[in-house]
Amino acid sequence: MAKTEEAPVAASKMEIVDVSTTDAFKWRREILTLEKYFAGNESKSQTMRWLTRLRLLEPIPFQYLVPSEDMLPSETIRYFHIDRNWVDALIDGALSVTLTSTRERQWLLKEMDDGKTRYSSMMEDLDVAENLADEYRNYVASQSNSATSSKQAGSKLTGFLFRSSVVRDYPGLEVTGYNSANSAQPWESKNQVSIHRFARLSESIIMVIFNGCPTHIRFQEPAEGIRIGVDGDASQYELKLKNPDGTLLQSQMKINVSKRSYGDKSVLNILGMYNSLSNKMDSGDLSASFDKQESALLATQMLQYPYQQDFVPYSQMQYGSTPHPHKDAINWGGDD
Amino acid sequence: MSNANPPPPPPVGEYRLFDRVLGPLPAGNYKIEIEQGFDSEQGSVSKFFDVTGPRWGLEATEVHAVFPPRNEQNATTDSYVPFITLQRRSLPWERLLLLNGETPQDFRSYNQMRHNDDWNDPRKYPWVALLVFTEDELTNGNSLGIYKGDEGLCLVDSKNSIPGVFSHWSQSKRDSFGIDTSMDKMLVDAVRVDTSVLRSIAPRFEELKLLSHARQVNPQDKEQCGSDEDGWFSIVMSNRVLKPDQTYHACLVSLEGRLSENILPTNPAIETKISKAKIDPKHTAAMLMANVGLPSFGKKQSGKASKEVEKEVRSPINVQSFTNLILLHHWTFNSSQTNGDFQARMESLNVRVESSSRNGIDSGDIIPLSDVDSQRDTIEPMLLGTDSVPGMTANSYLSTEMHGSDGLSEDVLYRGPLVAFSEQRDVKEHPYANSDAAMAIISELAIWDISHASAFELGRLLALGDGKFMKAMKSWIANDIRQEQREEVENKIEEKGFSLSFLNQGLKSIKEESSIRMVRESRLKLSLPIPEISKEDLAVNLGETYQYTVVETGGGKDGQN
Repeated sequence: MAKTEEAPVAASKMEIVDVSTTDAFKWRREILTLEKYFAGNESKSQTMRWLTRLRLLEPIPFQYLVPSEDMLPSETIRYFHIDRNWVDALIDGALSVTLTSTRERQWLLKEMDDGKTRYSSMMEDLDVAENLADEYRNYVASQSNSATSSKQAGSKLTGFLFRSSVVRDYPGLEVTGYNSANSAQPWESKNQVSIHRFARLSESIIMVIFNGCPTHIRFQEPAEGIRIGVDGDASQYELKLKNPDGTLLQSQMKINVSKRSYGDKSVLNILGMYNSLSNKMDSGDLSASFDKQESALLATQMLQYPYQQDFVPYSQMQYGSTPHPHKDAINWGGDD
Repeated sequence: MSNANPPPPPPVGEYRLFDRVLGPLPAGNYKIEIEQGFDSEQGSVSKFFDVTGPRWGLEATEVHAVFPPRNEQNATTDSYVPFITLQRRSLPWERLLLLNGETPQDFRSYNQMRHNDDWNDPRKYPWVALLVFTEDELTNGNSLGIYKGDEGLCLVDSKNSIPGVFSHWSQSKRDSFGIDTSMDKMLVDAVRVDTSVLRSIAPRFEELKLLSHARQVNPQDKEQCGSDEDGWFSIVMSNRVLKPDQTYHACLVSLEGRLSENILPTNPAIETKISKAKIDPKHTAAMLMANVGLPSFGKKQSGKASKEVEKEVRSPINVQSFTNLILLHHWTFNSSQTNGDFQARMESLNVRVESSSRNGIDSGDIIPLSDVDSQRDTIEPMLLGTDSVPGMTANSYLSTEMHGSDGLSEDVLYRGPLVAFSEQRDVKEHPYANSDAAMAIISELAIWDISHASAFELGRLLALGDGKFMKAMKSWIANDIRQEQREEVENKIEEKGFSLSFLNQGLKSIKEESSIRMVRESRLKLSLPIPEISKEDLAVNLGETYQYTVVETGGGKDGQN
């Protein structure tokens, strides 16, 4: 703890302020990172980390991924499987550059203690390493969803390319993959498939790679960008009241939202809205857990439900009563 | 929120809302004093430091997203309010809204808030506000009141007859605010708006606090998770819903230190001096209305109003007809009757019809998702690279040409790593030796498949283009080979019944006792028994062998042995 003082204007004002900072990298100590995995040999670590990026197709020019423009028209989504043989050939090419002598080639093909060649061991190491590369995502997964906290090494990789103005205009778009043969309950967190890589390739194109093969994909409006607004219309705006968890009150209670009484009639009376909500707390209609909240209370009440767009396999389409909340979820050819 | 480590992310699909996230200190100049005492010994040291933060503009990277999106043509009307999502959770509270000596009580218009005392803490108010203007509201004559980049306004000096943003402040006030004279010409982005318009749409003082909050989301399913998105954001909302068929300008502005200028519909700071003689009835009517939170309309004012002015208007502050505000971020959008929100965009994604029993919809047609009739239309699977693409096979091969070194070209097939159908992985024991080895022939078509050969060559090119990778890999191999050689030699020594320690000891004694000049130390610490040679013999022998050679010593450490 240190004593701080405003200077020079308020030199006489002394207050005790806690200026300790948060441990921004604590999370890195809690997971297995690439650095830890390859610790002990810096040259090897550098090499393998570079090859891991190659495994994840990071430096690959777009025209190698999508050789024809017609493969990905604008405002479309296209699903794919990754041909691991292609990626292995890519790694072979990178390795070949450094194998200029017989001795060096022998080094790569030398049989190790476990009976495998060094080349095979390297490829297996890369299978593990590619799962470790997205470190923060792995950490978050370990904290919030055990289904995605462990990934199978060298498993089948699938994904999609999404080309749309949505990518540009809604940064933070959320994508979740689920693998479920049960068409009734596919959207449970236990069915979630890990994201292997989630990258923006251009202003309007994202590529998502899954570690595994999801059968159901859900796109969701970014949680930090969920629409904020009121219900009703210009003749009478209103606000449907919500519980702290965002669900509507069972009583379906709502408050009227007034507009500023002068000038432009599109300006909402925000203070009046807050005071109405306060009154609802006083009367016990709104949860007491909102008691100390100000802007968070208002935001909770004004946030609209995020829109979800689901994609389900053809075999699970159920006309008339689809198992998902949106009528227009369609087949993506993910049956495998 | 305290300075403890932030809570772990919420579960996927959930988020947490916070009134605000405050850093330990707002931006400013500080002095830290450290005192330590031990018995009678006392020591102290002081240091000055600055806490900095954005003030005159925001970097593009500070802005995570805006709603409605920039240049949106069909912004949703009548229900949603525009807002801006900032990348840093504490940004709206990093500066102080009020000047030294000002308190929230000076500006509050409602003194019976829930937990009323909480509304008197100046640190809890954001220094920014999101103002949304229609283009008409910002247009003065032919000029739009948005000044950005090279066209920006000066902090103090006039530019093209437009006064600087802080030109109406006294020099001493500017000094204490941190604007010294060297900054007078500094260009900043600014918005210039009629003050009465500003007051008609700007939030009231207390509303500023209600319109900013912080949000924590789960970044697991997001792009760039961790690199620039830790799942924390701050959000500044506007207070205005949209009307259809308008062009809007959303302006994130700084209100730092500006409240006493009567620019918000709040009670201004009250000063007691009044001078009836100086009050222009038309002008003071506007001031009166500002006092009660109303805009001025500049129209007919009754004599009664003028009378009230004389009694009640006590603020001699010169309310300017136009107000210039620091513009931190700006974007435009149009509203229309057609919704252009996230849902509408997702429903507009294109799909290809495989078959349909509807009239007017044919196989191969491209239609938006929202037009799909799930009972009568069958949609092609949305796979990357199928035979619906011209020149492409059903399993993602694209017909192309390969030019050989002999100048001839031939038709070949290529496909990238992303294919429409699953491929079994063929785990190899050995890598391809070269790209020719990675060529495959498709026997049915008698045509080369150059996919893996292309991948091999691409891998080579990428590796060759990265010197650090080459160096690291070479170093790894060289170290390993050296280690292997060492182990080989050691094994041979062991096989011959020698102990390595014995040999090293022998080598050491040779080095210490022999008068021979060792030109190069053995890397392997292995040497054959060397007969002792006297200096005289050495000179003679060298002289006989190298008659015309000048022997130099002292060329290095080894040369001294």
